[in-house]
Amino acid sequence: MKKKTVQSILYQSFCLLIGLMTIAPILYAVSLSFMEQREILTKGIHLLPDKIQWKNYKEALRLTHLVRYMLNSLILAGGSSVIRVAVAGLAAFSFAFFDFKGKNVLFMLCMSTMMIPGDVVLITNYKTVADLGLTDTYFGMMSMFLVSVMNIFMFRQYYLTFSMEIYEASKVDGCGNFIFFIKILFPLSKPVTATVFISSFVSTWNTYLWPMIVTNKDTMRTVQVGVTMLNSRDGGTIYGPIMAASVMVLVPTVIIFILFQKQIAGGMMAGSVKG
Amino acid sequence: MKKSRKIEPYLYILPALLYFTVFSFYPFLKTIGLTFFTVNANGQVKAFAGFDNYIHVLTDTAFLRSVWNTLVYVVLASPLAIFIALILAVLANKKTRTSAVYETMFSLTMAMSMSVTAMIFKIMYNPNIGLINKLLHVKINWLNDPEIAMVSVSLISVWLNIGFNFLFLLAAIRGVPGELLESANIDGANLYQKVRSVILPLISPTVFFLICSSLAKNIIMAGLPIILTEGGPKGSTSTMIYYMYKQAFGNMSYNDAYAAAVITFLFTLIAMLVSFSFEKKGVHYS
Amino acid sequence: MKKTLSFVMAAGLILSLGACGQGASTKTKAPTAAVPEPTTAAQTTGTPEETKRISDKDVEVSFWHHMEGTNASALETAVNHFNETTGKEYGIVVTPSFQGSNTAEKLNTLAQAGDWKNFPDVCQVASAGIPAISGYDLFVAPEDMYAKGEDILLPRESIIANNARTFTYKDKLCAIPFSNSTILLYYNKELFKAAGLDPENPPKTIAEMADAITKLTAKDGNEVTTYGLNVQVKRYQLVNWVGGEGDFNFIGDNEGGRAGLMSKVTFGEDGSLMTYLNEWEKVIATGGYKPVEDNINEEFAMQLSAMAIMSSARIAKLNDLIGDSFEWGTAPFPKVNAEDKGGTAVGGSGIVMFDKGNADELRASWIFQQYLGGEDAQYDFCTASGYIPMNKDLYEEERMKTYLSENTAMVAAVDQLMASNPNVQEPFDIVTGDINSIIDEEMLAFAQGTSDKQTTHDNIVNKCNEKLEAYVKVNAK
Repeated sequence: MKKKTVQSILYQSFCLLIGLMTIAPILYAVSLSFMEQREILTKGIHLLPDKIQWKNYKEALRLTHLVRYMLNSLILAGGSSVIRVAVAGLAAFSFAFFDFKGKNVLFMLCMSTMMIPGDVVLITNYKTVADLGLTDTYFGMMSMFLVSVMNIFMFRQYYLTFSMEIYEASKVDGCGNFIFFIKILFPLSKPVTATVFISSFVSTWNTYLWPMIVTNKDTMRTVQVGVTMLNSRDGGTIYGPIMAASVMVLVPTVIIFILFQKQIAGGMMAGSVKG
Repeated sequence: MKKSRKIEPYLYILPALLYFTVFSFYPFLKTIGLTFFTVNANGQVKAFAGFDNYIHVLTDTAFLRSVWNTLVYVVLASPLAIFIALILAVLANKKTRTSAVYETMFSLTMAMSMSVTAMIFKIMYNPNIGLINKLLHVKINWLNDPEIAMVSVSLISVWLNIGFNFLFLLAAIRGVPGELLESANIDGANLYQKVRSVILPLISPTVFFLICSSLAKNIIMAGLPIILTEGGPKGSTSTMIYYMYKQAFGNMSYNDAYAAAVITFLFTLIAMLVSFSFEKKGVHYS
Repeated sequence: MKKTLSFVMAAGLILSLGACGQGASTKTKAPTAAVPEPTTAAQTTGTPEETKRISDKDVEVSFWHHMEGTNASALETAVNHFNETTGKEYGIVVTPSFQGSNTAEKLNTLAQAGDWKNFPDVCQVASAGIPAISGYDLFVAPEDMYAKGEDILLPRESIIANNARTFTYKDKLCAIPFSNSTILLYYNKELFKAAGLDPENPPKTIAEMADAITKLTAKDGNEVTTYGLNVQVKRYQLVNWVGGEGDFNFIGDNEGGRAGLMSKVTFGEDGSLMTYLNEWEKVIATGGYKPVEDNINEEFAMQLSAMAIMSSARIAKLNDLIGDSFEWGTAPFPKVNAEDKGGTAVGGSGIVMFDKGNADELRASWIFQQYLGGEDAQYDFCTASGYIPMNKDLYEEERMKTYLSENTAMVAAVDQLMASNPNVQEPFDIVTGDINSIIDEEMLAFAQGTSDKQTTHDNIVNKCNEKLEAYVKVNAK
């Protein structure tokens, strides 16, 4: 018993060490955010700030309306992620549980959207959104992130491993397809839903170009624009405040991570459900 | 599965399909159409060009180099990011008291934005004041040596993608029924054998998804060269879509840009079709 | 109830507007004749005393910019100052907004989508964007506003000729210069002293610079520990060197693209590129020249390079980085030959404006556009950001004299700009991205010894011309 405990402690320490190594660049950024300019520029190895000082954070908050931008990004990322989960889950349900004419063609057609670079469709999409009168609105900002085939694909891969027996059984019970999706499939798919939500939240949170193109007011800016606002094209990078802003911007995503951690950690599903 | 002739399955796909039609198919078909015309700097069609734009791009050494660079990047970045994430996922599979902590650490890289990551790595890569050279006691010019700049860029991308891949692989591995692993234990299988013969087949749908998505993402990658290297030094980090980006926004040449985008699309499509041809053989759905 | 009422009122307003036809249209080009305002009660009972106000209601002006960090706060200070002073007098409220580091790109997206209604009234753009922007239907050149002679706040003559020339396209001043800079030599005075060089007498020519590099370079065995010079020669640096040769040099035909579409480079046929390469070879031969820029500011601040060549816009940044850790200075950009008189080009951004079909807004935009070039705005903005004021009159003022005496690093920048020939400019070469990478790549190969002088020369000339030719073929009228 004792041996097992020691083993477990060693194992956990090892995992934590690997974890620290994985996030080393982030830790370095956190460390830089507390450093004074002269500490960043040293010839020797300087990993930790001499003392914790909040100058860079104050500077970042003074130069940008970061709190407002976080709210915007939260609306943008939260809103589009919810829609993404709903639309993608539904489409994947169809691709995974039904057999119909043209299914493979339709699926490949959807998949092809993953291969279209965003820059090449930017102008046409801007025109569409502007014609719809959606410039300077949150919905206009979200418009480019409402559906992602990547999410459909994620759900499909998961649903394909779902037990067909349960589906058949629910049908015998007189359960309609849509009811099955809402009442059984979706609740049992928490891990993948959480993963889809997190990944789309994070990717939307980090977008830069589109939210800036469709909005014209400073009050509609998002966090990534805020971070680059601290940069200076003519003068090169000022590390302290940028790192401080980056760390602040990272906090909400980390919180989302921790919130959804339990869902994912629960595993795909209990073995009994498997066919 | 029964063949259903009903309208129902189509209805479920309809919202996604409508959206793609408006924001992907329509603009991209328009782009494909424009590649057969000469377009001026204001985006106006000037004359029919046949395949001239394609010929021009395909004979442009800068584009050919971009094709090669993209290939190097994809071959380096895609498998490595999945492989490392797989190791981490196997490591994290067992639940312990501190699981939540290191799981978060392993997946955290996906929360990083590309621009911030680029800034951090730029200072870490600096040959004189950067942390990496200091710690390794080497004097490598990570981003300004044409021989290794693409490798350096790929490493950043690997790091960025570890978190995303890890998250999916962990979810998948956790789904492997405990009994199967236990019976493998009884058979005396070591970790490698367990991964190889029990875990991998069962998580193959997820691995397949990761391979496809990372291929697609990486073939059309342009962000890091735009932010970090401007395609240099000596064009060594210019990817296909970076080439497109530069032609469109740096040179106002939509002819080259659109043709390059369509060619890149075809590349990705081929990669995707090849991957899907393996789906039936290599991927096991329950 | 309220809705119905406002609907009725709106309908009435539309009817009354219908009488004067053009009022409702937002797409009409340059409707500069004053549109009669619908008479309101306030106007008839208004005070008879003379007012500068454009209209009873405040006129709102949208202003797009690309300033970041401390420069952005400097700009916002200037805009707020306008709103509190001149803006108040005229009844104008300006709202600034950041639009990414390349406003021209965003304007281009809007223009191609035909979305003119989302255009800003006033916009800050980098000089390279001028040829494209001056082609938009909504564009109004300051030149035309000066010709009309109404509401002149900033006399045309107050704009320094060099800065005006930067934003001149086809003989028209297309923007009011705003955040301007020039290229400088930065040098470490302490390392100069240590190497036995006179810190008050930095090199004036490339050849002198090569000598200094030899003396300044420090080595540890075979490894260079301090480079004499760090600069990556790209388009910006090269056109400054070549442009300053002799009296001046246009780089390309059609006055380097300012008189019309530039169709070829001329620095090959007139020999100016070769003259430069002949001199530059001396720098490369020293072995103490670092031809790539990793983190040029930081490395100079850490005394890893004794000299660096950069835009004057970085003075403030270097002040921050270096603090009092060592003494440094700026000097004029070293000439190719001692007898050259051209000087250097003006870099940076200017302010353009668009006519969105409302005469009041157009007037307000013009007033604000000029304000940004006025003494107050230039003083506020430049002293906070480190750009060089473009307003001639400001240099006569005491506050500016005081500022320059306290910021000696700026003096070299100002003097150099004033002494340069206005015809020395970065060309309007349109395929700027390609030309930049061609020069970058070839000059790097030259510096690293993988390409000889003649090949470097021929490659730059031929490749640039190829790209320009392809562009002209598609875009010439």
